[in-house]
Amino acid sequence: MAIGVVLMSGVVTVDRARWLGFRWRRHGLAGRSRESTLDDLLLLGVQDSRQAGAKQSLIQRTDGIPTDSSPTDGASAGDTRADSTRTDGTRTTSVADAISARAPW
Amino acid sequence: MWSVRGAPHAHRPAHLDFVRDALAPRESDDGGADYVRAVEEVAAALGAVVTAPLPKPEASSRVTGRVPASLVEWCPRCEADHVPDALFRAAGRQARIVLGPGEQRTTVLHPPPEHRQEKIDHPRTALLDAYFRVNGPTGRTVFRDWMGGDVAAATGLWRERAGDLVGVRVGDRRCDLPEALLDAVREAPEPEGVALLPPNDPYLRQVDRTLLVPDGDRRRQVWRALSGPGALLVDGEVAGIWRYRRTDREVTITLFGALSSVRRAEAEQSARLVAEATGDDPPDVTWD
Repeated sequence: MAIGVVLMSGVVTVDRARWLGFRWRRHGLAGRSRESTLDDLLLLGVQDSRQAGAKQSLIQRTDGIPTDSSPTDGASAGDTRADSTRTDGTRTTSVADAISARAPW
Repeated sequence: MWSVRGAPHAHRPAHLDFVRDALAPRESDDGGADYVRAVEEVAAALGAVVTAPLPKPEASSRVTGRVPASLVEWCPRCEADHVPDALFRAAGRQARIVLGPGEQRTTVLHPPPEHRQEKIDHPRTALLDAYFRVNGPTGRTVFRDWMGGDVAAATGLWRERAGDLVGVRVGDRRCDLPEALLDAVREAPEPEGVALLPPNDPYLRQVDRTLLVPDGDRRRQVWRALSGPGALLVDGEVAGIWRYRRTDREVTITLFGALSSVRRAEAEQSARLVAEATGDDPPDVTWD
């Protein structure tokens, strides 16, 4: 049986460190996350505030999320960060790509 | 747009229909048929009123004149009759009203943008599935609180998914998880890295708070009801809190314990991103 899992009484016990690791990765905080990670986060929504809450959440994640698709059409939140290209040739998603259902359009 | 709990959230423009449909009230939910009708009536009024960018107070005033008196209440704070804010926000979501900043801290409502919408079947179930994909083992109460507290809605969703879920224990918490995600959870590498997350970040919102921060004193510091701080994350754990004073260009980080110089340097790099998000120059970082 894999590390961190014990089966008892029909309930699977997962080590807390594995739970943390799963969330860390799926929340896009592990650096080289997949584009689908950002898709899921934005499907659930990233809470915004007047103090740039959603932008602050996304900017901590998007520097590390590569994409091989064109920028999301229509997405704009007034952010001017451009896509950047890594030394290995992969592109990273800018905050402007990631965000959002916010005006102006 | 106004999303879960009526709070403003960023979503992809292609998902406005999805958010509306996933969170649309149903007759089987706690509010019943009366609430469904109320949301629809206010949404229709909002759709008629918000045909161009309009400050929220102005939109509220115009909507009040278009809906039945039974949907309007006296508001002591505004000293005016208007649709209660929670209903107004639910209706705004139903009408796919988009939110934008305005002058003098006023929220401006925008009509729905013309944007191709991604079709997602069974949107409410899809929302729960995405929640599991992002957060792993989750208790029904935690999901319900995140979604907005509707007991009937959460119970119905869990019942729908019952055949796919397995019971999981993390620490002393009993959770559920789709069986298909079990291997991904059990094989997850331990977290590594540093990030400064804002107060309502999904990592802090979509979680059992006691499981993430077992210490009660620390938990109270992280999740304050008013003017809550951001959280310093180190290797997945909440290792402290932070605040950004824009006028002083200063990020103050309060640690819960010792932190290596390497990790401090990484936190200072994250602090630069905090300022970058608001278009500010790199801030000074003060360790408390």
